[in-house]
Amino acid sequence: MSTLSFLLIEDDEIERMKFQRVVSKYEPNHIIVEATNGEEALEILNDDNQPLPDIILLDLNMPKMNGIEFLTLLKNHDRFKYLPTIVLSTSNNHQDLLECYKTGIAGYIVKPLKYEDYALKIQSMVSYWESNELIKG
Amino acid sequence: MNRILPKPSELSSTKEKEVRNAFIKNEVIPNDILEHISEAYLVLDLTGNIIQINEKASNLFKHAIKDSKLFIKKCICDNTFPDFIKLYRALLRNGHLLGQKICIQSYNQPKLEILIRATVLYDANQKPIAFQCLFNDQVDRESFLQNYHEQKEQLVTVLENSSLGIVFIKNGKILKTNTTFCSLLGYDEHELSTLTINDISFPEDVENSQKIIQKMNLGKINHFHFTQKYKKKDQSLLIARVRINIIKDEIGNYLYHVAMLEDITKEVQESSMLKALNTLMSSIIGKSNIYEIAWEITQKVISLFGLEDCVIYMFNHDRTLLEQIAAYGDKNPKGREIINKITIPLGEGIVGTVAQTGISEIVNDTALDSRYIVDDKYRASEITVPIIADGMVIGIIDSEHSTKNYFTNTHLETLTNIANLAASQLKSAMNLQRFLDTEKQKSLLLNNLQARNQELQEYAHIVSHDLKSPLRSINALISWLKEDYTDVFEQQKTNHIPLIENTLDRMEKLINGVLDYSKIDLENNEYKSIDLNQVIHNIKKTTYIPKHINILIKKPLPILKIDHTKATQLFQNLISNAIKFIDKNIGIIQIDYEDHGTYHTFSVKDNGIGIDKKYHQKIFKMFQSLQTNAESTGIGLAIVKKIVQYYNGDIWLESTVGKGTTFFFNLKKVS
Repeated sequence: MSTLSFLLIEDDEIERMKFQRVVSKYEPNHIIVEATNGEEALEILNDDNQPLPDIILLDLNMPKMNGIEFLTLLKNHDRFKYLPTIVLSTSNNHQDLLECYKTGIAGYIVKPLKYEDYALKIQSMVSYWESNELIKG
Repeated sequence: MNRILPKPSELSSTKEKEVRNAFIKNEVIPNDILEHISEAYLVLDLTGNIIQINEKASNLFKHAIKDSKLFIKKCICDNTFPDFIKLYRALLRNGHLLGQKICIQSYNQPKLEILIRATVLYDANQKPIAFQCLFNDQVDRESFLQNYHEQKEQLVTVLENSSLGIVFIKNGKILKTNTTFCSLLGYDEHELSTLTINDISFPEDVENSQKIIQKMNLGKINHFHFTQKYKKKDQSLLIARVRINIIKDEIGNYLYHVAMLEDITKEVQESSMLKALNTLMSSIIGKSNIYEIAWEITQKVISLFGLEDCVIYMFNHDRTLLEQIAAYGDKNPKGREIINKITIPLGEGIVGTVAQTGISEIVNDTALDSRYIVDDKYRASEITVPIIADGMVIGIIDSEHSTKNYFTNTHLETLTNIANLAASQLKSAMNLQRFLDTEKQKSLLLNNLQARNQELQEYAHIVSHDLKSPLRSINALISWLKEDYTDVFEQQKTNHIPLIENTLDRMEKLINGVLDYSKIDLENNEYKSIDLNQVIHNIKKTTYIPKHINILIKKPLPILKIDHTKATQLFQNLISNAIKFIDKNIGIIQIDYEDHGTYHTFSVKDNGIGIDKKYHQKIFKMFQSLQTNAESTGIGLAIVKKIVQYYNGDIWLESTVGKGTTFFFNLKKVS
């Protein structure tokens, strides 16, 4: 099993805590880098001192740059476009789903209300990516 | 009058008639008739050879006949011979000679005046071949004169009693007129005798009538019909149908012209007004602008009346004066342009007065009316008609004419009609404008409303999502509390945590309900054919249905053109609602429908607790739940009603408390 590094882009603090808690409880070796919005995420990605994450987790509803805008920038970038991106959204709106898959995502997870359900979904997502081969660096 | 017809007494009844007819028709008089003729009769070829002769003629011309040839010259008195030659030529030219007097003197006989009548006889090719002549030596001066006077009297009687105006004209000068002619033009006979025909004609007609006269004088035509305008003594207009004849003597010399005039002034004016009115009607129908209507009236129509001038004024309420907005005549040299526009204050002039009173006026002689205002030039008469819309004078139609007494009641009537037409057209134009304004406002309002609706729906959508996120956070935090402080909670033995969880659950359901409700209008409306049996089947698979409840489809449901999501929401909410309220040990939900041609009536029947009649309206309202439990949000039936209404259907229910409820709804068939 490999160690994964996640870039979590999420403006809600508790959502970030939830993700941290679920992942660290499941596999403490995984690395989670947090960004509270798209711009911050781009700064992190562009920082040469930091390695690129393996997987990006993206919230759709964010202030300033929203998820889809960020996704579009990412997918137009020479290097970043290969980063698998999974959307974490509150909305199962058909329009949003279509837009995301069109732009290019590796998954779309609707955040359930119950924490237990959420934990289950995140765990299965992480375990799925643990067993995937990834482009490192 | 120098034409003398044969005296009726000359020949006896029927024979006379036959001779006459034959004679006039240029036919040879048959022999059997000739015997009865008391007159001298002979037929001569063109060179004077006698072809036929009766006894009387033989006696009369005895000495002049030699070898069957009539040497007529021998009989003619020397001094009348030139006349005789003229008569001969006239005979050849006209084909007949009716009652010409000549003087003959036979050998050893006294001079004798005889009356000669003759016709030319033609061959089949209309070539003259002979003359036949009748001579009457019974003529005496007295009977001739008597005859002449008789006929003159007859003519005078006819002349005087004719309803036609008759005038004798020589070289343009008026020789004689009848009473009708005098009264038509308003002059007495003496006055007329000092005038020429040009004096009573309009300048523009003079050239034309002179051309006609010239043609007649050249012998090209003998009579001519035409319609012409004449100036009466009072300067008003006479329109007449004219027949003009040229009168010549037997030998073709011009004597004079006779013109007969029939007064058709009224007729012409009335028919032209009717025509003009029709023209106007069709040209201003649909026009919505007062200026355009005014120009149409002045330019197209007034010219049809033969009016010289017309100006339309518009009343300016702010400045209380009348402004010229359209004109015909000298004021309007070209296009839609008025030269030297004037304004007339309300109450001033004839126009200003009519604008004030709202009563039309005809001024027969503007020289006698102190109110008359000279605009571009002085004109002798004026007619002024107000344009009245909704009891208010909005404008004036004014026309002036260079002749006095020009305007009649017919003009007044017609101009009033035109004014009414203009007013009503204007009124409908204003109504149209008002209608268009309202429509514009309406569509603006509608657009606003649509925008607001859209905003509201997006708002509901966003708010629902935003509301969900704190719920999720609370849920997570509670879970951590439970996880981190398991020991403490177990000691306390309180069930607060599950209550909070239930409340959160209910809150999420509410939010989802609002979201679904707001989505009904928002989503795209593809009308695909949906098999309702499949819809129910799917609902059964995805919805939790307790074991003791059975869902029955009474007969296979139809295939409808409806949005799949809406159809699912509709039946799912009704079924969930039924499930919630079934209190029996064996629950039955029965789905059925009836085909009513243009629509279906569906029913969802349960054997639940039933709904009291007083709640039948309330249950369809948002957040109106009759039960307080976590399952019932009070949104389900609101969504059902909204979907049914979305498809222009009705929803209602029948229920017996304790026994069950049936919901009915109509869905129109969409073609």
